[in-house]
This record gives sequence, C-alpha cells and structure tokens, in this order.
Amino acid sequence: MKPTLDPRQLNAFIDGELDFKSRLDIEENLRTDAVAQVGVDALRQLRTAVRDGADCHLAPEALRQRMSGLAAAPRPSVAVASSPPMTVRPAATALQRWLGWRPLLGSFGMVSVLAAGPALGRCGLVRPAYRQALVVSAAGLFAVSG
Amino acid sequence: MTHLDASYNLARWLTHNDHDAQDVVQEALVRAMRYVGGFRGDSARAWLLQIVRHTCYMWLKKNRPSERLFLDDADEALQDMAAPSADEPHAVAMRNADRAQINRAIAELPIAFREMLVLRELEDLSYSDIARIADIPLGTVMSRLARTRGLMRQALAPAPSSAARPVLRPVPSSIPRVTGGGGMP
Repeated sequence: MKPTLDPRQLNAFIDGELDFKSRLDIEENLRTDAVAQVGVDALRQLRTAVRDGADCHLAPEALRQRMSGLAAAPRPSVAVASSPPMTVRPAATALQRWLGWRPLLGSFGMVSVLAAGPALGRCGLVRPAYRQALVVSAAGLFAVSG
Repeated sequence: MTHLDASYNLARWLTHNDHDAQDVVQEALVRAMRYVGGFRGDSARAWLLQIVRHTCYMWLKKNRPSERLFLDDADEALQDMAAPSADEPHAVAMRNADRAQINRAIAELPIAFREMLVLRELEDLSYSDIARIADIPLGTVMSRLARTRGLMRQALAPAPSSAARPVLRPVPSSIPRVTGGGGMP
C-alpha cells in the first residue's frame, strides 16, 4: 500500500513535534485513513522497541575519573599567576635588599666624614666653608639611607 | 560531568568502540571546558553533544576515512520507502525483537541516520536540539528520522518463512537436451 500521508509528518506526529493545527489535521486524517493509522501504530511500536531494547551506554568509571581529574586541575592561566617565573624578583624582596645595604653604607660614610673632617681641619688642609659643606653632605646621605 | 553519560553514549554509537569513544569524549570535554565561557545558549546538553559529535566526525575523518560520513537527503528515497501495511508482520516482529537484533540494526545504519536515532530515541532530544547538534535544518531532521525509522523497520522485519518461499523442485538428471530447432515436442 502506498503511504497516504507524508512520512515526515507521521514521524513528527508520534514525536509530538507538530504544531497544534498540524496535529489536528493528522488526527482528522487518521480517523478515516486506515493505512495511515497502521503506519502510526507501526511507528509507535518501533519507537517503543528501540527505546526499550537499544543499549544506552554509560560512561565507564575510568573515563569518569579521567574527566574528574581534568576538571579539578587548575587552568593554565591560574597556574601562571600562582607561581610566578623565577627570573622575576618580588618587589618586597628587592626593597628589603635595597634598605639592607644602604643604611650600612650611609653609616660608614658618616663615620668616615666625622673622623676625617677634624683631622683635615687640624692639618689646615680644609677651609671652614668646605668643612661645613662636607658635614652637611654626609648628614644628607645619612638621612636618605635611613 | 552532568552530561558525561550522554556524551559517551553518542560517541560510543558513532565510533562503535569503547576505547575510541573514551578518547573522543575526553577531547571533546577538554574543548568544551576551554570554550565554556562563550556558551550563550539555553541547552548546555545540546551544546556539549554538538561538540562531541563534531569531535567524533573529525576523529572518524582522520582514523576511518573510508566511512561515509555524509549523505544526500533526497526526498525520492523517502518516497520510495514502503509504508507499513496492515497485513505485514512488522508489528509482531518489532514486539519480538530482542536487544541484540535492535542493537545490530542500529549499528548497521549509516552514521547520519544512526545519530538521528540515538539523539531522538536514546537521548530524547527535541527536533530543534537535534538540528542544532547535527547542524542541519529542521526539515532535514524530519526527513532523516523518517528514513531512519523506515530502515529500522526493514532491518527488524522477519526473514521470509519457509512456507512463503517459492518451492524449488529438484531438477531431474535426465533432461532432454534441446538440439536445435527450438520447437517444443
């Protein structure tokens, strides 16, 4: 027997994918068309047989664990941010190192000036104005390093 | 990991192999995690299955190039397919079909039809979701589903019984040879 209705329409009908008007048209046709009714019944039985009988494969446990591991692993961008490259020195460490040698050098300079200034003055090698400028310079160096 | 079973089921049916399906799903989910920020749809399941299907096709193209991945959706083939009739035993056969028969029939479908059946019957997706996943128009989904079910119906049809077969009688050994003339005695 030849199909009396479009097979696409019949399939969409049993799948509940037709709009309201198309569904009413099909139902009207099925009341008077025995061949179409048989076709619909056969499609429904096939659908039930496939849904009940076909294997629905579940993901194996090994795949589940692999995917859980991938999902739990940090993203590359996060990993870079949390572990900076070794060539980049943290700013806090650099400041500490800078503050570490500068006071020592300043203190050494100050002691040297204070020790050398009077000695040079006694020898008459340094004029009073120069002596004063030397003391001010050493004091400034000390203030910067402190 | 919500749709892992659906992803694996689709990949398993498309590749016919557990190990290959696992590799495909892993690659697909890695891609999905990379691009999840760009997802703007309403169905994450359909979006994920679209990636799995695409990954499957790429994998098949690379590893099984002989497999025919695409087909024409000509309506003539659909019209040539016989409609079920009232006197044929298909309905009984479908009720009696065991799991092995059904699985074998699905496995032997061309891949474009197989994926339609898996997405519709096993994953219970709507036509619009299937159209999005397979990247085809809605009308093509309807055509392919109709053809798929027609092929399944043919595959599950019972073999012709011995009573229905034409009876072949044994040929007698002494057949008078026609020597010429062509006329019947």
